[in-house]
Amino acid sequence: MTVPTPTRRAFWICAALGWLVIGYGIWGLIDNANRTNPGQWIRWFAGSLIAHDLVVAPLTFAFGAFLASRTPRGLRASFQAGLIVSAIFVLTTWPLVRGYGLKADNPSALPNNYLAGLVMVLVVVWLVVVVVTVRNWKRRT
Amino acid sequence: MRVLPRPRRGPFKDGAFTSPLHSPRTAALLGIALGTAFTICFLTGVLSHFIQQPPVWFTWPSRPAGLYRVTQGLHVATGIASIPLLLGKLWTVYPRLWQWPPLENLTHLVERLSLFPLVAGSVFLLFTGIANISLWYPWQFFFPAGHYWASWLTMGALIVHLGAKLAIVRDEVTRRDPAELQATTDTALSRRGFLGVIAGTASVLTLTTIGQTLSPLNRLAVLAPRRPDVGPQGFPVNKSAASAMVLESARDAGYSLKVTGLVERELSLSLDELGALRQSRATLPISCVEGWSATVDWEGIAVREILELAGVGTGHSVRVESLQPDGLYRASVLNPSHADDPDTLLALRCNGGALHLDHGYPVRLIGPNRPGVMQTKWVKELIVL
Repeated sequence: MTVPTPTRRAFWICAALGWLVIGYGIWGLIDNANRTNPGQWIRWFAGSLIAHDLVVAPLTFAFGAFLASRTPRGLRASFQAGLIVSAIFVLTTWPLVRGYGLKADNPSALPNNYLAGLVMVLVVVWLVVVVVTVRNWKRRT
Repeated sequence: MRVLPRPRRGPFKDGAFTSPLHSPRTAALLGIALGTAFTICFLTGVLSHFIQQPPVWFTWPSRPAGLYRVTQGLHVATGIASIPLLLGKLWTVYPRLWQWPPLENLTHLVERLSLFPLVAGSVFLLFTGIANISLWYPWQFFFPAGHYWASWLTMGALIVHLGAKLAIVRDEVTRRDPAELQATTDTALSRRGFLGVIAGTASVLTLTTIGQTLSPLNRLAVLAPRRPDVGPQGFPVNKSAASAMVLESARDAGYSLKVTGLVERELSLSLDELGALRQSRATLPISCVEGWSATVDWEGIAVREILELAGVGTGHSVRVESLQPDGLYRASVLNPSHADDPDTLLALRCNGGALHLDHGYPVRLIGPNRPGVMQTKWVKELIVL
């Protein structure tokens, strides 16, 4: 990676400042150890990286390649779009759908039927996918 | 330096990643959006932290009354919208994790090292944030502290990353897409299609959750953890009387509110005596750190009025203590701006009825421009500082 001189200077300024800020974060974690519980915290922090880079991402690529090889060419783009939206919605609403945070003494917390909400969103998403696919197909033929 | 032979398996294989979307331009465009979103989250988050644990140089004013509702609503909404941006970004640049050789020179080392806190922190912040608003705590650390300090690590790493990528981003945003990437083909999404899907997901996530604080969109909020109109007396509860362990003490017939500290005369006021004092009304939001908010009509005695009864002049801070026996949020401090604001009340009633036990019966604090956790419920004592 060869970068021109002005950018090199900008890089080292940002690097110095950035690592200083990172250092402040590490200091804060240790200084507030009674609340941050660094031994636990680091597991979840590093675990986030490992879970994404070595589990979720490889599975996504493998699953994508598998599906692509079995989907008719004309449907791939639509299918890809629908799956991206669906996967993100399922992932984001999973704790709500499973009701991990439900509390017997507080019915105003998590008051919705989240499974119904998720299904509703997914139905709308896939309806849009179908409509767009049909429209594109008609335009081409 | 000896040149390592390149492995030929798995992600190192030639053609392991075939999509033309794994390009600097896609990464640059998503990076700009994500960097902006994270900066908004960071600034609003640090602000919320300072309001709750103010450094000596920081004073949070009581006006405008709805400011905290906006900044914290923005924090949570931006965090939610960041999820598709982050996942799209990580997917785009994922092949670079397996680049060969892994390290080229010192600059590259400094840049790649910062990717550990950057990726770990980004995923950690969004995961813990989503779990927190879903009231799910699978970890053994205090969420606000763990989330707050992780944000400093992540922002630091983002600054390093920005320095490393500035030139690429500048080049990429000024260049036009080649024609073959502009339209969706039969076989895969185009760049515009991909970015459109990511942006669309962010928009729909926002539409189905933002109603928890933006009441006109309440009916669309099918995936929001709270509904501003659902709860006793028409608005949500964060901590119930049962979980605060005040079920008995809050209903004790011998209840009295104490006013102590730097006062001319200490006070002890029964509920009847409080009811006989001049009642004030204020329409103020209850704005939770978790991003929901609800507008409520409150009625009670202005804190300023009670301080005057105790012979306390303006300009004092007041510590408000709850009957709640323990917990980090069993007390809060009113700075002088809040203590002297005529709308800062010790509320006895809300939305036209006596306070519900879960909303802080017999007496709760409610003031303009304060985080919900600092609107102390089941108030036992005011200590003038």
